[in-house]
This record gives sequence, structure tokens and C-alpha cells, in this order.
Amino acid sequence: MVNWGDFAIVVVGAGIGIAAPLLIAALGEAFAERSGMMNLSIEGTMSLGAALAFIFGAITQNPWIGLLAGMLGGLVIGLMNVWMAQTLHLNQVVTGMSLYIFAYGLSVYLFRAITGHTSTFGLEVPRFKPIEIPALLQIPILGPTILNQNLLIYISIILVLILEVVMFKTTLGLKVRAVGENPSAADNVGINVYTVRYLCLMYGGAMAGLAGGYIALAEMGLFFEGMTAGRGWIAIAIVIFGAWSPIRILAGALIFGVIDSLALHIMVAAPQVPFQLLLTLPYVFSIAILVVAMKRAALPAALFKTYRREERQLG
Amino acid sequence: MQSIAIIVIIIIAALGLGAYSMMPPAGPGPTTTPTTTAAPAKKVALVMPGSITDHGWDQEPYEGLMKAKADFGLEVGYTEEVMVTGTPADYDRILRDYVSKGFGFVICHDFLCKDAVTAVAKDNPTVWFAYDGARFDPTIPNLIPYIPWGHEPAYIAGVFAALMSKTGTIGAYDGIPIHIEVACVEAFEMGAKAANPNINVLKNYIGVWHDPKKGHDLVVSMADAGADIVYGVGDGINVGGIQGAKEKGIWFVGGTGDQRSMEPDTVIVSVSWGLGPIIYTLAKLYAQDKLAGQSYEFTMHTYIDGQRVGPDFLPWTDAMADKVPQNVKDAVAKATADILSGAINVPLITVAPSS
Amino acid sequence: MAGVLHVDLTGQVRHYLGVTMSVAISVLLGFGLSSIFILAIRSNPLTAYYTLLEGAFGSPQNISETLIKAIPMILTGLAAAVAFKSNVNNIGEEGQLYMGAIATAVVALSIPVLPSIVFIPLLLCVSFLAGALWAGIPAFLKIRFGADEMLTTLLMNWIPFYIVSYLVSGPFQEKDKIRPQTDFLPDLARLPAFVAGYRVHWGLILAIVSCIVVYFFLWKTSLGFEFRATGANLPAARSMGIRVNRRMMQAMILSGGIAAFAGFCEVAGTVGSLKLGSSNLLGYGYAGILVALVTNLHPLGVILSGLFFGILIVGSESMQRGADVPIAMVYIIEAIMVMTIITSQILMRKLGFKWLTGETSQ
Repeated sequence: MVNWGDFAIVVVGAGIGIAAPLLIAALGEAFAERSGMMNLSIEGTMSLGAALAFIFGAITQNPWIGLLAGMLGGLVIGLMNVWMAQTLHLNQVVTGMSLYIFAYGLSVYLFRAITGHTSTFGLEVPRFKPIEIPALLQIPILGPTILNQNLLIYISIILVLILEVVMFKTTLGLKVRAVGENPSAADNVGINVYTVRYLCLMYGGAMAGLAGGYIALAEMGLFFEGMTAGRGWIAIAIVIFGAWSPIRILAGALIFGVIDSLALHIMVAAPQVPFQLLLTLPYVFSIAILVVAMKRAALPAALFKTYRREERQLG
Repeated sequence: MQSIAIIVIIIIAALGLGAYSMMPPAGPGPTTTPTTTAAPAKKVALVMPGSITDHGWDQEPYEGLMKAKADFGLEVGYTEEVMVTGTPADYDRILRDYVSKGFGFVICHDFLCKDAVTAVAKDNPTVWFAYDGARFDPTIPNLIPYIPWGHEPAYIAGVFAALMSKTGTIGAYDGIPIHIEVACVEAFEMGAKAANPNINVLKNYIGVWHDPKKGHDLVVSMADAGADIVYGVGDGINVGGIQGAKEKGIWFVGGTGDQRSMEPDTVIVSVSWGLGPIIYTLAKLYAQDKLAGQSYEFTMHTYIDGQRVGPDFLPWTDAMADKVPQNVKDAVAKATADILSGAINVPLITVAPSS
Repeated sequence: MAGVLHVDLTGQVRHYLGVTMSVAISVLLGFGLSSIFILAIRSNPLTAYYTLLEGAFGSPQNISETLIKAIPMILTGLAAAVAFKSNVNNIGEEGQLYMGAIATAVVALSIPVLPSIVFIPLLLCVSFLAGALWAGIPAFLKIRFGADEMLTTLLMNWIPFYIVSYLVSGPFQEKDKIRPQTDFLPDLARLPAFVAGYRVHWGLILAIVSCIVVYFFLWKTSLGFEFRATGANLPAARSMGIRVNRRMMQAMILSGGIAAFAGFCEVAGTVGSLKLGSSNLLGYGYAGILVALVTNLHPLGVILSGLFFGILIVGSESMQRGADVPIAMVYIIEAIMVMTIITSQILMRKLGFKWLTGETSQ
């Protein structure tokens, strides 16, 4: 009775939507981590990005300005993080986590202060609707589902390709990776470790803010407290799974998105399965995939040590 | 370097104090009640587990409280997000805090606070307490459990959905299967099957109430499974679910309150628990010294001062009336009348049937 | 002033005084910066802070509540301290806490009632095992497969939430089958009140004793030394012959067990049953990480730090009622306070306030 092919397509189509904000945030975090800094504030930054995107999108009635506002907010949080962790040499875990709480609190604070606690449905925000490319829509089955996505998703995919090139084929990418592998050696060679890290963290923050803006403007068209619901943390997982390589991050995000979507579709199709079990599926899978990825990937194990050495070393 | 820093700090402090002194006075902070010979102003407090912007469980009572404040001149206080920033263990402290601030009626709008409310109520017999309770909860003279049973309007919604559906599949979802949620979901299915025994009803629980994206994704999944009208019983998950329904071009039956105004073209009817009127009514009774130590079960048969208060089925607005076929309108009207007259007795199911 | 004191005080006391002063200044600075947000919404910061202190200390009842809030945070702080100090980034305290809570409730409600003297230690052991196991899985994955523990512990935080959700709406739901909570634990399984009439319970003693025990363990035993050496300089420790992988794994397991104690305290002490309580941002597990990092991972410092966080959270939450300050300020104040405290030492040094950092002028 079930057409598995159709089912799969539908699951994947929905999975792309789930994956998109994860991908965007992960693409930013990848650069931060490649440069040797773990940014634990993403979850809060995403919330802040969502709030700012909604607020400014509603005020200016322009979603792009909303996204920009979200990115700026995220950039500031990233800046604070790198300042505390790099310039002041504080432990990255505490700087990241305290900024996570700060950014989240700020998102709720700003949202209430600027909109009052009224329903967001009174505020109209123009959104990013799926782009209907007639030629693509004609394609049977794939058309209305997988190939019917909004502009930001297409931009993200292009971004993945751009970043892959930047990371592995440009001087900038080389510098980032050098700083992440061995900051003292990089310093000796004349690379300004501080500048590289500042840029990477600000970029990472901006992308996290963008991811939040995406959640607010591309699908929901609203801001809801706590709407990021743990996605920032998943993004961190995806970065590590993707071994900090943008293309592999895309794969990781898609896998997570598809599994999440699959869990929901199974929940609908087979309600006798305990739903809590299905809801843990994405996390269990992430751990399993992580283990597999870590095992065989050419991960420079030095990368982990880099963080810790970093906390003690660079002066 | 030091001196510069000191000067900067002094300047900031001075600016801060200056700015503060120029500020208009703050909102209703801790005011000293003027001593008069009249009875002290009646103070009502509302303690909520979630956010007052959640379009549902917490926002509706908050709005009801504010309306009561305006209508009856009550002094009010509220505490929100108890379960977001804390745990059920915090209720005890919060309730006692309100008592110490002289509040005469404290409403705790969560089902997890029963033990805290009971303990504090026992310790403070002169203060009224109300909480989201359950059938057969024992009461003490100053403790009022109230329960919004939405099963009857949910039944009507089921009738509506079954007849509106063109695909023969409809859906209902909520967060976690506990009593008032289960009652609604099951009643929805019963109503649907009564109208069309062959209807396929998808029932799902997604474990959370406040994740709009998950609600959105679930509704999308239900739509993918063929449902063309979905009933959401939650707060944040409804907010997202409505967006998902809109995306997929299917109908949405609102829950918790009146969600028709959120997306008028998508949310065609709504099942309301009447939380706003419930809290409003409790506050009103307090203002009029008519509270009694009993439990209030709110159903479609609850009348207070001659008015129906509580859960209700909110039908299509005039603007959407032409989207609803006449036979559906008739069936809904009949079901409503039958329930009100007692001809139909909607069973109250509070435990999710194991499949 | 500095000149006179310098003659009398030893370097050690001077150091502690300096640190205390800088923490005090940073707390004031933290309040000052938070005031900006309070002012921006036209509320009175002085009223707000008065309410904060009143809410935390204003009455014996309030002090009891502050202590109750502090208990799990001291324990999770201790858990984090043990882990981080041994080079293990355990950010799974939240999940480990939950597993301890789950184990406590499930066992207490499943076995026949025993006398307290047996019941409570049994539940303690059971909860420790649950937390240790939950931490043991990421530890194993790290040692065996190189899976970064920061990530695995984090991902595993979500799962206990769903386990609780299943238990309290299913097999372990209360007899009445109404609320998403378990029945109340038998009285003999409950931690007795510390002071009659107040809710603060013997979990407080458990927390403090645990901190002292861990302190002695880390500083006075050779095994503890190896933990610290692994954390201080991994390559050097390895070259000294310390089996660092084994130590890290042990530290993780110990950390998980201690975090589980916090869950035990919540279920057997504060609440009395296992309820559905969303794991949230200010969840004790995540807060514990901050508690530990603010005191530089010192097991005894964690006691003060946990108390401080208890004061901060209880107090700022009560600002909603006493000072017309929105709930979002709870997050902002906590975050700002952490940030000012951790940056204060460094900033003081950079600005030249050397005497505040307790450094001698050499």
C-alpha cells in the first residue's frame, strides 16, 4: 500500500527544510572551530538572530533587513566570545555558555520590550516563500517537494560550494587551518592569529544569527520564545561530524534533517510506536554517526588538543 | 592607565545615576498600600508555567486576568515561565511569596503544582488558592481546583472535520498524553467517527508543547500522509502547526483558545478551553466575595451567573462561511444542540488508550 | 591603606583578600551593567536589587529556598569541576542528573519500603550508578573511538528528557493517572528536613560533604593527583607513566555519578516525586558548568559558587513580583554576572589594579 519511493521523496523534501538552519549555523561554526575556537553560544545566538530578524523585518517590512539585523546581532555575540576567550584567555566553555544564556535572555528581552507582549500575529512580516520555478515544478514527484524550496536554501547550497573553495583552496582558508592546527607555528610564519580568530568567530556568530533569522522568517514568519529548541547544539554536532569541511557538513545536516523528518513521518504512519522513542532517534543517530565518522575520518586529532593547548598557551 | 579607568568608571556611574533620576517613575512596583479604613484592595496573583506570549495555555489566562483587573479594579500580579526558568519545586516558594505580599487569591495555572498549592493553602487558610486540578481532587475550604474539559467542543470539531475532509483522513496532535489533552484528542476521534465511521484519524503526540517547528513539521507529515484537516491541542506547537497547514494548503482546527485570527484562511474553526473566561470568572467571583471551596469543572454545561463559561466550539467566521458546505453546517449545529441538551453524552476519556 | 597592610599580612591572606575584593567589585559591576537593561524598560534598579536580596535572604523561608536551589547546583558544579579538572569536557551533567532522578524514582517506587537507614543509601548508590553509566557511555566512545566527549555528552542530554516523559505518562504515572508525574516516594525514602518546618533538607549536607571528600581525593590521594596531572598537562602526565585514558574515563564516570546525586536530591529531597520538568537553559546541569568554571574548578569554591548562583537565580526570579522586572532578566543577570566575574581578574590586571588580583608587586 505504501509507495516507498514517494514516501522517501516526501521525507527528504521535508528534511531539507529541517536541515537548512542547521546547515547555515554549522557553516559558520565550522570556520570558528577550524581556527581553533569552540563556540558554544550558537543556540543563544540563533535565538537572538530570530528575534532581531523578526523585529526588524516587521519594522521595515523587509525580510532582508531582518536577516541583516539578525546577522549583526550574531556578529556582536561572536565578537564578545572571541574577545573573552582569545584576548582575555578565558576558558572557551564558560565564555560560550554564558554568552548562550545572555543571547537567549536578550532575545526574549528585546522581543518583549519592542513588541510588548502581544501576539506576533498582529505584526505582519514578509517571509521567504518557496520559489516556484515552473520548469522545476514540472518534474514529477521531485518537483513539488524537493525542488520547491525557498531562496535561502538555494543560497545556502551555493554558500557551501563557495566556502569549500575558501576553506581548501584559498590563502585565507589556509591561514584558518594553520591557526587551528598549530597557532604558535602559524604565528612564527607571520599569520596574525588574533585577526584570523576574530574574523572567524564574528563570521560564525553572524551565520548563527542568520540561521535564527531563517527559522523566524523563512518558515514561521513569527518569533516564539524558545523556538530554536536545541538546534544550535545540533549544529555543533554537525560541524564535528562534517570534519569541518563544508561539503561534508552539508551531508551531515541533510542526514540529520532527513532522520528527524523520518521520525515524524513514522510517528504519523505508525502511532503504535512509542513516540518518545522516535523523538530520540535523531540524537541517537547523531551519536552513532559521530562515532563512525570519528573512527575512520582523517580527522587531525591535533584539532581537539588545539583547543585545550590554546587555553593555556598563547600569550 | 589606572587613573583613566577610575575616571571612566566615575563618569559612567554619574551618568547612570543621572539617567535614572530623570526616568519617569516605574510601573506598578511594590507600592505601599495607603492606609485607609476601607477594606484592603483585593489582590489576585496568577502563576504560570510558560510564557504569556505562547498563544495558548498561559497567554489566555493572563489576558483574562488583565480584563478582570480592568473590570473590577483588582490589583494583580503575575509570575510566568516557572517551568522555563525553573522546576515544579519552585511553585512552593512563589506561592508563599505572594501570600507574604498580601495577595488574597493566588491562582496556579499548572497541573504539576498540586502538592505545592495544597501545602501552602493548608498553611494559609485565610487566602484563596486555585489551581489546574483534576476530577475528584480533594478540596480544603480555601482551595479550588478548576478543570477545563474540552472534550465536548472537540467532539463537535471531530464532526466538522470528518465531514469537511475530502481525502478521508484527518489528524489530531498534542504534546503529551495527559488528562485534558487526551480527553480532547479522543473526543475529536469519537465525533469524527460518529459523523463518518470510515474516517481515518491520525493521532500523534510530539512530546513538547512549545516547539513551533516541531508542530510545523508534524502537520506537514500528516499532510503528507493524506490528512486535509488537522486539530492541534497545544500552544507553541499550534503556532507552528498553523504555518505548516498553511504551507500545505490544508485546514487547521485551532486549540486551547481562539486561534482563528492567527491565520483566518487556514484556521477555520477553533476548540477553545475558555481559559481566559475561566480565570476572568474566578477573579470576578473573588472580587464579589462569591468564591467557594469547591472544584469547578468547566464543560459546555457550566453556567455561572446565567452565562456559559468555559470550553466552547468556535465555528467558522462569516468571512469563511461560504467555504463550509451546508451539510457540514447542519451537522455541527445538530451536534452542538444535542450536546447542550444532553442528547449526546460525550465520554470523558482521560487515559490514552494503549493500542 | 595598602602600605600598612602589606607589613602585617602574609602573601596567602593577601591573595585571598585580593581575590575576594575583585569578585566583590565584579559582582557590583555585574549589577551595574544589568541595571542598564532594567533602566531601559523604565524600572527602578535599586528596587529590583533590593527585591533580589530580599527574595534570596529576606526571611528564613527565603533562605531555605535559596539553599534548596543551591543544592543541585553545588553537586553539578562539583561534577563539572571533577571532569574539567581531569581534561574531560563533560557538558552532560543535565542528562546525568536526570538519570539519577529517574533511577531514584523508579527504584524507590518499585521495591518494598525499607527503613530509611537502608533505603536512602541504597537510592544514593542506585542514582550514582545511573549517572555514572550515562557518563560512562560517552567516556567509552571517547577512549575507544576518539569521539569528542563534549559532543556526545551534549547529545545524550536530550534522551533522559524523553525517558522521563515516557515514564510519567506511562508505566510510572501517579495512581490517579492525571498528571505527568510519578507517585510520591514513600516517606522513608525521603531526605528529612534539615530544619524543622522548612523545606531545605539534608541534601545540603550531602552536597557539602561531597565537595570536601572530592577535595581530599583530588589533593591528598595519588589517584587524585593523577586526575589533576592529566588535566594540567596531558602529554607530560602521559610521559610520567600515568594512564591518562583510564584516568579520564574514571573522572567522567565519577563526574556522572556526582551529577546524579543532584537528581537524587531533587526527587528524594526537594520535590518528592519525579515530575515532568523541562530541562531548560537554567537547568541545574548547565548551570553547574558555570558554577564550576567561575571558581576555577575548585571543589570547595564550588560550594560558595553554588550558593551564589542560588541567590542570583532565586533573587532575580522574585524580581518579577517585587519590582516589575520581566523574567528575561533572570538570564541576563546570570550571564552578565558570570561574564564580569570571569573577566574581572584579567581586566583588573590589564588596567593595573594589581592589588585587587592579589599579586605582589614584583
